[in-house]
Amino acid sequence: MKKNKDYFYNAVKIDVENVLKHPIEFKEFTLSNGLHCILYKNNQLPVVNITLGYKVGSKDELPGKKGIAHLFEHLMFQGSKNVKKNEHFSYLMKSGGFCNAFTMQDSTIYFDNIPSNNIEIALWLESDRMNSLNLDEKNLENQKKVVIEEKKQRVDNSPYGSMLLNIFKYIFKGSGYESPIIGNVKDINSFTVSEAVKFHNDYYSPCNCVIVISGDINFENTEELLIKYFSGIRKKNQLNRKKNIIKKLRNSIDRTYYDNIQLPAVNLCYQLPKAGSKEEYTIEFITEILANNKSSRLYKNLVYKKKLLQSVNAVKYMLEDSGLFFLNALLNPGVSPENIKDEFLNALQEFADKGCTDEEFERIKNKLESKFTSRYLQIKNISLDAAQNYLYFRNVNRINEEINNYLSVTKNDIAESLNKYIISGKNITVTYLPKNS
Amino acid sequence: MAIVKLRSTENLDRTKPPKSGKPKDMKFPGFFEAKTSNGITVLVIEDNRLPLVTSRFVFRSGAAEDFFCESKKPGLSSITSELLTKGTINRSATEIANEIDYLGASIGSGCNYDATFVSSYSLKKYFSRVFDIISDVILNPSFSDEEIERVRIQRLNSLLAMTDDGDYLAEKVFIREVYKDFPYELPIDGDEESVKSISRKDILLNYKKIFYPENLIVAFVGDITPDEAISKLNENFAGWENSGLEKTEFPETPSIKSQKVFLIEKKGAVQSSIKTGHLGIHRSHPDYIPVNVMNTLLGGFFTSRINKNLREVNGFTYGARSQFHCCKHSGDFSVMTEVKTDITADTLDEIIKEINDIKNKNVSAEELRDVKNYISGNFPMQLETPNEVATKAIGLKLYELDDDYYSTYLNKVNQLTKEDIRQAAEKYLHPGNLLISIAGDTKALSKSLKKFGDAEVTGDNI
Repeated sequence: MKKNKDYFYNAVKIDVENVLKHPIEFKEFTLSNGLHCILYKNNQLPVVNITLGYKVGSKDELPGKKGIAHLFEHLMFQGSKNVKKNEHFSYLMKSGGFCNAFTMQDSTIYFDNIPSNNIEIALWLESDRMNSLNLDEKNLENQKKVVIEEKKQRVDNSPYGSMLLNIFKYIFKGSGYESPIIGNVKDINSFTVSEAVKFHNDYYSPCNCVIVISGDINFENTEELLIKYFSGIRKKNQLNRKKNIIKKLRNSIDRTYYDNIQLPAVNLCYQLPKAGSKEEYTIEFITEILANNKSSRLYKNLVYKKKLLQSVNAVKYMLEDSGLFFLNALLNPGVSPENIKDEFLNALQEFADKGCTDEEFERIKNKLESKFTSRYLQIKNISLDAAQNYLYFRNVNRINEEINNYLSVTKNDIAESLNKYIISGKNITVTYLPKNS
Repeated sequence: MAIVKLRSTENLDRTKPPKSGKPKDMKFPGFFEAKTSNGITVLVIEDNRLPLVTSRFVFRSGAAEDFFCESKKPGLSSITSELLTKGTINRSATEIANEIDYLGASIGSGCNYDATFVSSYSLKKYFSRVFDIISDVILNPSFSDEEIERVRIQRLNSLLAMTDDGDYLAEKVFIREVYKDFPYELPIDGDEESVKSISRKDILLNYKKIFYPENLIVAFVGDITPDEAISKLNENFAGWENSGLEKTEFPETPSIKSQKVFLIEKKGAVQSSIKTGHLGIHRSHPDYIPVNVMNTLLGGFFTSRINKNLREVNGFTYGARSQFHCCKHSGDFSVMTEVKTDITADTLDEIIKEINDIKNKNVSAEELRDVKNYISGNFPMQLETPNEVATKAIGLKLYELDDDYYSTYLNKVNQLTKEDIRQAAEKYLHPGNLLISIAGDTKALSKSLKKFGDAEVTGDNI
């Protein structure tokens, strides 16, 4: 096998039509109680995915009640009017299914994967817990304990487990994104049954929810089932949702934490505009050009050439009301965190001064094409993206449009975003050091 | 376009669950299989829904080889596989990374005890180029001194960082003890002493022992026909010759040990990371299916007995599970969870109680029916992407399972009786012989775990 360098940087052209050859088609409708329904048909396997997105997350929590959106998600599995404690999971599983849920800052997502012949059981379960919860003191106390152990496992007992929480704390100070989703033990313990009932009434109503059903369905039957199980739910949410005001960073801040770790970590963090803004697309190019792969600038320079780092990542974290960009490094022993921060700042400045090369620009486009092509092999990804696109943008077809939003980014767009939000923006540096240092 | 549905059903009886519909039949997808003249097993799992192709090279030896070096060399096979993509006689490490990334592709390598994996993933239109690179990586690795030193430093630092993780510490000691004097006793990623001592000569010999055509299964997955796959494979691998080295002979499987407690200090721990169990069975064992159905009931899924007890009844933990981890030549059984330090002993009591229960009493007909439904319903979900199908097809070859293993799998599960489950528990669970490995606050644990026997305590620099 001979190396053939000639073909290398000139023969690759993005073929947008190839990616979009099979746009994903949905059927959408809204029940009279406000529940929005999205159907996607794919009969490859005898399986359906049902995803419910409720428009409530940790940003909606009141002071003194941090962590309850997530605790409440646990309570949704503890029984409803016609389903006893533990029965939600057991009905699903003995019907050949699997279910779980996760709480985010802006929404809470529940999903069921189930053989298509048992779709009705999942809809019965989901509608019953949307309609009416059946909570008692004992279940609440049990799940408080479980959640506190979850916090220990994920945050307190996990190396660097509190790092992202601390980044959020400073980047989003004063907003609904300041507090961690997992919350704090005191607030979790203060949650009462009557507060849980109120939370359910406020946020878990049909008009605050989107349901997506993907997979082995036919439209007519599935519509009938949705009407059968959900249209009788009369709840309305009366809430006055507080506005999530994001404050711009006024000063750059450095914070250092000492943890039970061996290798220091450095994070250089910036605030971005919200999901769906131009920056969602332009910053993607910056993350990939700087880090996350072996041909990126920071990997080549700091990991490979200078051997200063164990790993380097660039993260883009988009939220409904804001965004976050940060560079993260795990340092080799003896390397100074200040030195790495300078390396990061220099790399960003150099990017701003000189821009990116054609090769880098094409590389990221190729990667995006490949990533978008593979994502929708799994119906659960289609459901999740459809639910979120509806909840945040009221536009499910973003699934098909996103690739073009990325591929139409120009080098000039990248430079503008970089200068506006990173070079001229304030930053937060969060450093983690070993406790014994 | 949104339309509003106006009808509603006020009089729905929600008190009873709806009845199941008729389950649909699901066949395990077929795949193409062939053998090349130099002994490579070729599999093609064709799926042209999307223009993507994955190639997966699986060599039938892995980290177990580290045990058979003149002196044991944990980490050797893993470092050899990592170095493959770090340079060939035709391309430097940076050139490989640049070419692969430029095409929006990816390439990866690694190993477990039984096998070494190299794989590539790309859009179909770049497959041929990416396949040339992965072929070069497998056939012509250069193992340059510079790259060996770079990987060595990276590995030593990552081993250091892993000691922050309680689960990793508990598992490492558990594996060492359960497989004592058997090739699986060594940590796949290695340890400090061994990684420092590995030489280029060791790596070249390891490469020779693992990488040869007769040892290789290649699976082509996605938008590619068997003709295309075979012709591309022949283009790059037809001239590759077998090394003629003898296959490694494995020693006899170790025996089940007597109960013992191992405590590993984890600084600042607010939870105990528990891994407890004993020797299990190998992957092609005739009782694999009943053993795994039994384990699913015991601790293999969310509504299992152990998770229900420790999480939903007692609130001790965020989650607990058990598994039979089955490798080619042996296997182990273990229960894993993370709990508060002061209820560690209570947790062990409950685990032992659940193991005894499933051993001594028949499961209920309802419980057995439910777990069969769970396994049957979840099986098709494991076949959604062509790569998931390929993983199973590769498993058939790697573990030398019967060709009809997956097409008869659900039938075999559904034929199991309560008595089969009890027998599997009776035969393969040994609650009196548990190796109990816990990373956490060793000082507090030494006291509270006295009743399980004297503990062997290790500092955190294992």
